[in-house]
Amino acid sequence: MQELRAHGAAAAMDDLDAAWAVAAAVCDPSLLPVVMATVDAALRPTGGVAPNMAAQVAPDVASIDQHEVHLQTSRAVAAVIAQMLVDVSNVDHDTVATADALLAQGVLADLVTASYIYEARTRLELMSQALLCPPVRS
Amino acid sequence: MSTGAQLSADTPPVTGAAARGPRVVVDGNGRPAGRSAELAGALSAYQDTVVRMDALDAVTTELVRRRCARQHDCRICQSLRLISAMESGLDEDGIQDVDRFEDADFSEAHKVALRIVDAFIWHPANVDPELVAQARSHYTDRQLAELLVDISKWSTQKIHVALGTDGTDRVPLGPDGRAYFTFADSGAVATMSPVRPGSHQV
Repeated sequence: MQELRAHGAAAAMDDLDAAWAVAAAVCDPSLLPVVMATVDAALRPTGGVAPNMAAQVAPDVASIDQHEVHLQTSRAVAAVIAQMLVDVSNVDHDTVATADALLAQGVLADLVTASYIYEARTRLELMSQALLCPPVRS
Repeated sequence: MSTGAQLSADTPPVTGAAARGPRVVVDGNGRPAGRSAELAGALSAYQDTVVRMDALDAVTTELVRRRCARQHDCRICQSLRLISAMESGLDEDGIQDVDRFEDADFSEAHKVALRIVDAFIWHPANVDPELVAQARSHYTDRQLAELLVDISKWSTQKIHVALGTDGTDRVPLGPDGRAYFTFADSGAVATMSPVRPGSHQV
């Protein structure tokens, strides 16, 4: 997101990076990759995880899926995040309640916050590339 | 499900809002209980920094904020009005016209800003080249950078909408169902009042 930094948003990007670092430190390291993969699948054209972001959290999604106990929670969290990404105004109450019931108090809120931060970074990256990187400025 | 198509003032995007209550346990401030204060604080710091940016005028900021609020159906955000934008000439009709902005009496620059909001929300990986050209003809790079982070700042409302913590029960609403707010130099909300300054509401 050098384009944003180069055009007056460096301080904001520093703060968003700092918020992401806090999210990575606070959130369950086995669930954060689920959040990231869900966001990437929904927003990126190829659905791939941004490599520099994936390196900031420990396990990959494939390793998580090997653990059946974790799978239920992962799916429940991914369902919330997916709805939030597609149309937040229609997030289903039961979907949130299901995920919340599988987690300690406050954990889902932190994951949703982390998801939003990652989502914002992704949208900013895509949009700044489109609007601020055309080859020739008319 | 919303599609991102032009919204109609006759068919507001509000869907489950009327029945939406907190979907997680909340604390005394109506915020999710047990959440990380450090994480919430870090995101707030980002928002404050974005508010302190000054390449865009208050009216553009308020139109963008309103579009995000309507697209995401955030009840708190829809109830708010930015005083500096109203002092700069944006009236309630203008606020309501955001839903049908393409047909509204907005400047082309404001329409372009609202098209960028929709692209950011609905198809960030597939921005129409025509919109790119429009954006670059109406805004400087610095203004576009601010516009993008502005949209992301206002869209933090998605967290509260998803968790059902976007209710207005703690907002000082006036008889018109609105609250009027200002920002401090720090970027944090400075005042929020049920009465618009200069009005005769009681």
